[in-house]
Amino acid sequence: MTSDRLPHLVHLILLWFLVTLAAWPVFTAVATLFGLWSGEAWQIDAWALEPKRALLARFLEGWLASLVVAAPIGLVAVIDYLILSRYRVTWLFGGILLPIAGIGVALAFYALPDTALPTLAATGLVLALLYRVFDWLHQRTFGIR
Amino acid sequence: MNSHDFPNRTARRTARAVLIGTLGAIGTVSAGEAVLIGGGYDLQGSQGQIELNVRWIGDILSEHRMRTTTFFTDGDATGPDVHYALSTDAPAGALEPIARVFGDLVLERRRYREHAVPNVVGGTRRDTLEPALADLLERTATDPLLLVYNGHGSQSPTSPADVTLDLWGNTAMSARELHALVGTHRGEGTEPFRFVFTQCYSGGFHRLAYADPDEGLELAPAPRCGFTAESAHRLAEGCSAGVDIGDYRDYTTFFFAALADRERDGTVLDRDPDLDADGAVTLREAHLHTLGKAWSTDLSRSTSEDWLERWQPWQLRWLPQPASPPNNEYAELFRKLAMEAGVPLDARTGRTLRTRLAEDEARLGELHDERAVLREEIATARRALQRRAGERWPALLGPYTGGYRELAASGELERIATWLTDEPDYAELHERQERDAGLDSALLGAERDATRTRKLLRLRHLATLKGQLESHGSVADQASYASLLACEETPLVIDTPPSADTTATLED
Repeated sequence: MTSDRLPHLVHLILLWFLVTLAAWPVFTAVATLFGLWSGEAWQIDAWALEPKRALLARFLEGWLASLVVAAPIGLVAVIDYLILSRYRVTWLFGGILLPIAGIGVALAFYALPDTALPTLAATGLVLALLYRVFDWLHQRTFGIR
Repeated sequence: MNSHDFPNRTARRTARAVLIGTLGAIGTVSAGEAVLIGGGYDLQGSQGQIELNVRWIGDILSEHRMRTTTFFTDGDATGPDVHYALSTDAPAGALEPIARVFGDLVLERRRYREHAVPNVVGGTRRDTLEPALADLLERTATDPLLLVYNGHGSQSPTSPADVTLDLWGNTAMSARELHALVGTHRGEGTEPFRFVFTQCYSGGFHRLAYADPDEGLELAPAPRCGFTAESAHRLAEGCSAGVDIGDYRDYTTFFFAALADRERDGTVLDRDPDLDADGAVTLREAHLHTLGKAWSTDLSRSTSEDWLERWQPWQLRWLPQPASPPNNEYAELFRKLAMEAGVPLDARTGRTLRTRLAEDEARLGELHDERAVLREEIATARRALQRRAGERWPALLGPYTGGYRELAASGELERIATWLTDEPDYAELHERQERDAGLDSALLGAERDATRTRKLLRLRHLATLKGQLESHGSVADQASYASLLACEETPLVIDTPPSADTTATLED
């Protein structure tokens, strides 16, 4: 491995970690926002009626369990980066695969996808935004893509 | 329900009662066994309402020919073990002004007596109750058993399995300990063990139905299920010292009214709890009747509902709920209650309910603030009156002293009471204290309103959960849920088939 490839590889690994670890918190945040808008979500009532530690335990349980889905989504982010970051024109669409992956998860894993699709698509969009911010910070810090 | 349904309903129930009575009389049908545990943890925590509840439940179980073993407070030990409040219509005592200024108005109207629960076999102190309960569980290991608890409970800061029954003599038994007791003595049974817990934080006792008292979804090998007034994290309604049963809105009142097929005051139920019209009201039907009928601060739940809430997988739990929940018994109940409450059924129902809940809680907050201000004013007025009375009768400031005893013996207390009522600011204090009592009622009403809205949201959630189990649950999950429903959908009295000998006798 040449010395200029190492930072690139580190960047890809960090991107994968970022998306993998952020997927669940972003999903719950987006779902909660949608729940607040529609008026109905388990966590709104749990916040008022159950101990916060129970809510936290459910969150952590979900975080751990979701890693089997979040890790491949992180890989999707890496592939997206490898495909679209090469040219300025294609980079305009960088991150587009993440909402598409969210829609794919809804269609593949939910018996009634329409209930999960808006939340997962929006989760993908927010993750794409995170991924672009990460890339921007990385460029500013190390000056490389 | 249409009014013409009543004759059919009565006929079905009568036929069933005659059948149970006849077969029971010739000893062919086991009318079932129940254990009734009730009372407070000490005299000041042993309200008249609990006693009346226990007596009423005992009467209903007796009417259904259930063999009932009752444990209550200190058993039949001599001495008062129940307190009650004088009716609000009762004339004020001569010393009430002194109580208003120096003492406790609640205690002024409180009286004590021995309980009047019939056929009590023992008290509920942990050290006497536990062995008696173990014997009973052992003896009935191969029969259906119903356990009903009516008393107080305490919360656990760590686990729902550690919520407790608050027993006589300030002793306690946790859900975990009862789980072990039932597991040891009825572990291999095939007949259902059913329970009704109506105390605060009673939801922790749903863990009795699970294999592990702490966590997990695996059910106990023997069928167990039950109903609780609240979750493991909330106070339950009830436990008033008042004896006016018209005021009772606790879980016991509605649940057992459905099973008795009459209101507590003897009047006819305004809706038929027998949802499937098979002539027998099951425990689950009684629970659904309670959810539909009760205007109280309880968010009651059954074990199957507790199981559904625990079952919901992580990938579904955090999603916003669909605007239209699937159609099932919870959705049906929701629609009925929503219409009664004037909630429009449309795509914005969830938001409408949240807005309504926010308004209910804002009202509650205002009432709390108003009461805090009022109580401060009451305290100030009491201090002023106490100071003036103390200057004139210094012995008043030292109750339980010789000086105070002389004051009481000389009849001076009555004169002091009259003097207090003639003081210019006493009338204002009296009015504020009455307003404070009125605010308590208003607060309870506001809490009940807020809970009604929460209940509507919960019913929609349960409807969604049940739909999710059908679409996402494994075969094993659905079997577990079905077994809980089967246990809950048993009537109060579970008939056992007549023995072969008796069948032959009947044929002869």
